[in-house]
Amino acid sequence: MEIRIEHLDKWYGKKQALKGLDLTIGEGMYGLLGTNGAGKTTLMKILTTLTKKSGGEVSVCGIPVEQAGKVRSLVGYLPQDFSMYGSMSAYEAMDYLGVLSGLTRAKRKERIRPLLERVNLQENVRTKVRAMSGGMKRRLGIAQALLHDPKVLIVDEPTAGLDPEERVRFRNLLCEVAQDRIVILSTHIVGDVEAACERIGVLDQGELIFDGTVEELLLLAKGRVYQAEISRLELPKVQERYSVTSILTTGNAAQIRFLAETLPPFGAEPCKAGVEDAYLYLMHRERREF
Amino acid sequence: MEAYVSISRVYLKHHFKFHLLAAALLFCLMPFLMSTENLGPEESARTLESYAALLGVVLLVPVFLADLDRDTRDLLRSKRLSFSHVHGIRVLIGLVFLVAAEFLCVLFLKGCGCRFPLWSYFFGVLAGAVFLGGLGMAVYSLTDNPAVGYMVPLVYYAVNFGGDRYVKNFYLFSMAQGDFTPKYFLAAAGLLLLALGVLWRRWRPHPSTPL
Amino acid sequence: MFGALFFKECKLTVKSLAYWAYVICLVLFFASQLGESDWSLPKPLPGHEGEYGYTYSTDEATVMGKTVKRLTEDYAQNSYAAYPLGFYKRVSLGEDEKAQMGEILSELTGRSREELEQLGYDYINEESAFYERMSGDGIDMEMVAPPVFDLEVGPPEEVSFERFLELMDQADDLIGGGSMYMSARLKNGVQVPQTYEGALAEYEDIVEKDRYSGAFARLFCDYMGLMAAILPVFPVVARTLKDRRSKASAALYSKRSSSACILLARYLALLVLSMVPILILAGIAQVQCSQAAMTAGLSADSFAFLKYVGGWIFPAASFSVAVGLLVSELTGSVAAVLVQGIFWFAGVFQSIDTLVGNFGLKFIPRFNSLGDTVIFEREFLSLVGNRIFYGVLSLAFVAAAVIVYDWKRKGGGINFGGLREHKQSLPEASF
Repeated sequence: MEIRIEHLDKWYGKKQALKGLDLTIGEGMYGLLGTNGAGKTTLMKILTTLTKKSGGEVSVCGIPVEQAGKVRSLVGYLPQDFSMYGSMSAYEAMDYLGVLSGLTRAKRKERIRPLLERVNLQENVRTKVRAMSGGMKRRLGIAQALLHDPKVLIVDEPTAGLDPEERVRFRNLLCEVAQDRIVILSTHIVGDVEAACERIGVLDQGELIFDGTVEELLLLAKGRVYQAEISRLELPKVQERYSVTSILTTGNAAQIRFLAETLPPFGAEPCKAGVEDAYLYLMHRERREF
Repeated sequence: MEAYVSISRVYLKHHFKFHLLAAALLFCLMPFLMSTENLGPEESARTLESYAALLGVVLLVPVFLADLDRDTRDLLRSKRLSFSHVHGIRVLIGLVFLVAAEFLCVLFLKGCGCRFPLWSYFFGVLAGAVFLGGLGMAVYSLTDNPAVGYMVPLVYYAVNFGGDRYVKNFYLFSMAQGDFTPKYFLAAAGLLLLALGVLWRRWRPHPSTPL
Repeated sequence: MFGALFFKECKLTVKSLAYWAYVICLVLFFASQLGESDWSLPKPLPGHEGEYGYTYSTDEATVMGKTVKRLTEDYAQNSYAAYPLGFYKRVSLGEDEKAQMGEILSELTGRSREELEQLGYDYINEESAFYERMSGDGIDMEMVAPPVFDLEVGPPEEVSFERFLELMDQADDLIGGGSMYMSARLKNGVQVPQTYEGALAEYEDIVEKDRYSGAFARLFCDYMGLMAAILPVFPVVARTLKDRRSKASAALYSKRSSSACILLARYLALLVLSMVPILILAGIAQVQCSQAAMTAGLSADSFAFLKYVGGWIFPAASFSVAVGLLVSELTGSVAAVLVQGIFWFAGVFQSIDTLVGNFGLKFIPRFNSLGDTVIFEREFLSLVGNRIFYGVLSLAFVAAAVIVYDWKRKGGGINFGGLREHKQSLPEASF
């Protein structure tokens, strides 16, 4: 059970959105990081057969994406902005999407309520989609994506627009369902990936610039993260030379955290790298800003 | 089969009912806007061709209107059942109701004492309606823009006021002149346009969604 | 602030597909209706009686004679044209009413009902046989004369014009009102063939009063007014749907600008852009028209098209845009197409049998005639009133749209007629 991507190209007119991507994704949670416009959504749309690739090979659990019908029954998809016809109730929406997934009436009856319970929407079976909050919609979204018990679950920007509490709950829910499945989670929020994913891929301008475990990513930035306390007046100068990942100002002093290839000349001390530091380091290195 | 019934029910309940309501409104307005009583063949043809045929636009164009929201559309497309089946079913529902509505119009005129051959007039008005609806639906499919989808058949209709000089065998108001030939062209073209509309949705190069 | 918004709206509309579809439709319609016109106006020459078209006569004997013949034809066929509510309807009378109609005709002509019916039938048959022969090939037109309807109003000293009008009003009542036999209409005269002198006078009116291009501008407005009464609604609907599609409403709602400012900018941008292609087409027609006049050695009014388009088409476009905005804001759907479609359809069919003048409060005033300057002058004020009415109405619609927009912005919601409050702040259920 794996997703295999070889030399994947995607062109939109003259713009190349994916440049010769090679990637293999196995069971468990896989986090896809990248800035907006890095090609994450394009990749997900190719995996869900919503967009045709321009070149290369892609197969999901051994089935090439050209066989859209077969791939679709293996894949559950939660788009960035999940939305259904506003006048439908949660149950109706689930039922309709179940029909489109090719589930029999008996199967739908059997699965819908437990799933709604699992995402804690049991009280909202009759709530209309248009009356739902962002968080409720997202939970309904995950329930519908699981409806046909897919081998692969693809989730695009799942936590954008959720409050911190909702976000944590949603992440945990994803972790739960990731057992015996491939779950691909695309996001530009590093925290989501750090907390939930075993493996991480980083996309930048259509290229995969990192593919490995969280530890491997951290290793990249090891010894390159520093913190220092400087005067506020010095801040612009430091920001010009180094990439500063966080600033905390108190009075005239500023606590900063920054990335540097070598120990900087002012009184800075090395510190433990986090995933966010590592990600930023990667992006800066890629753009040759060091 | 059960799936198709379910899809039909959802379309009727959540989307099509508004368009049916509009069609019913137009039907009720017919006796006020057009002459409907004791008409001869020419006058009856005029009422049917220039009014009842417009029901085709109301009932056939909204096939894609339900999925105006791109995210919803993506979600539905990602499901196993091909979206074309859904569109096909919606077209069929539109056609069924169109046939019923036109038949109601024809019966209504008959009931008002109009004199005309029932079946050939029924076919005639249906052909015009399917063409206008098919035209709008196909244009909607091509442009992905409902406003344009409604505009094109209306402009085509208006152009026909000027006679059949430009539209030849696709003249909408031929029945009033006793000519039925264009009706065959209109019916064939209308069905073809409906098929084209559904197929284009499926095969068109998908618009470059910004990443 | 307003200016910047206005230009932003213009830019958005110019970039939209619906707008260019609108432009293409306008151009196609113009080309199909007026594209082959060469804008020339030949001076009538003497000696072509019967080829000068028609005019209206108010001579009492002519009115009575013509009307009675027409009524006898309708009576024989038992089919009358009527315009109750302004819409064309064909009416057939029941037995009792038919008998009463017969009595009226008998009084006017001194003939029995059966005789009248027979006369009418014979004439209709003769006439259609004549036209059938005419449409055949190789017929020398000079050799065949059209049939003459041999029916006179009874001795004029016995039937006065007043009595005639009275009887016609009775006939009109039988038909159900609004027929061509109502006395108010008959007083305006009946259509008779134009004479050489009449045609020449009309030509001179066009040259002097309309300064040549005015008459063409009226024809232009007659055709393009049909389109301006419906097409501008489509870019408006597309514009509002775009907000919904891109879910921009929430972002727009929260901005500082007043609702009036946002919607007025949108309204004006859509209106101005709707008018641009019409003005360009009018400009093209004006240039061709002026050239044709110059070729004929006449001077044309260089601003005739601008004046007519401004006064005639502008209010129609304004009305379409306003209806589009209001209904779209109210329903957030394409329902505006249906509403304006019904307006338009009603407008088209309200005027379909009086294509020249008779403006009243018709939404689509028609003047499908080149010339008829006298009629136009007579009805000019009624057209002005008509256009002001729709102009004011469109402003009222825009004001209503602003109110709706403002209300939605403050959290109100509307869904297909049923009002509801947004439930977006529903208490969150927890996992």
